[in-house]
Amino acid sequence: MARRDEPATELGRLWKNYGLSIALFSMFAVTFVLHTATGWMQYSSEQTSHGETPTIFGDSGYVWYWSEWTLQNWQSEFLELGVIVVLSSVLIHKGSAESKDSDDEIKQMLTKIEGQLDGLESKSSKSGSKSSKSKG
Amino acid sequence: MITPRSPRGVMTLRGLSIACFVLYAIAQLGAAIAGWMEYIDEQRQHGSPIEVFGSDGYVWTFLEQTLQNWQSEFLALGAIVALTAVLLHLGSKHSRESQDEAQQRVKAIQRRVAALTGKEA
Repeated sequence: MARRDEPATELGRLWKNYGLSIALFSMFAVTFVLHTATGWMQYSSEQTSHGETPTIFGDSGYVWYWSEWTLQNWQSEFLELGVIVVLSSVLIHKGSAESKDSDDEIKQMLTKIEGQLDGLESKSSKSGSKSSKSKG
Repeated sequence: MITPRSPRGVMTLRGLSIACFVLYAIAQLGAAIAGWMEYIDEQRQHGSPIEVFGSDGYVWTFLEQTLQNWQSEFLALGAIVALTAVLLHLGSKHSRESQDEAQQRVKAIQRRVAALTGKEA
């Protein structure tokens, strides 16, 4: 629910207007760093158990494991987002918040209300008074 | 219509998130168990000790696998939230132009109703 009072500071305003993406990107940043750190622990213990030295770069360096893990997830996420964006423009799941059938219904109701207003306006302008219409 | 003030049970008011978190808990537990089986098999093959904590413990494998997924999920959610504020895909539920149009039409209706009732009052 939107708060009525305007936040005093610039930071408060930023949080009020963009808190959703700030929270999500912060959660991403935290898990991204923790994933990199715990991935290093796993990688280095595996390298040690094979009698190899853990390195960041090089042929069997951590950078390849890390990139593979990270990009493997990212590609599927972005595919998922692209698929839901495109599919939700052509397919419907009745009643779902991810489906546009409710939007279409609201637009139909708006069209009906606009038609009713047209009728009311022409009736009231015919019924005498010449007062100015404020239309925008 | 169901509103947050309707006198209904918690399953009606919060069922969506409860269902999601229950499914999450089941999958997380399953992943932890399956990951543990895989980990002990690998440790045996290497003749390494099987332990939960410690520098060679399961905790690192588990955290790596879990956080690997979490970071990309949060990135994806942040991306869709931020990108839908600036980019469109005409006709998609996730594209804002349909809501913008509805908002403008409601505003116009509001003005016309105000003009009508002002005149008739």
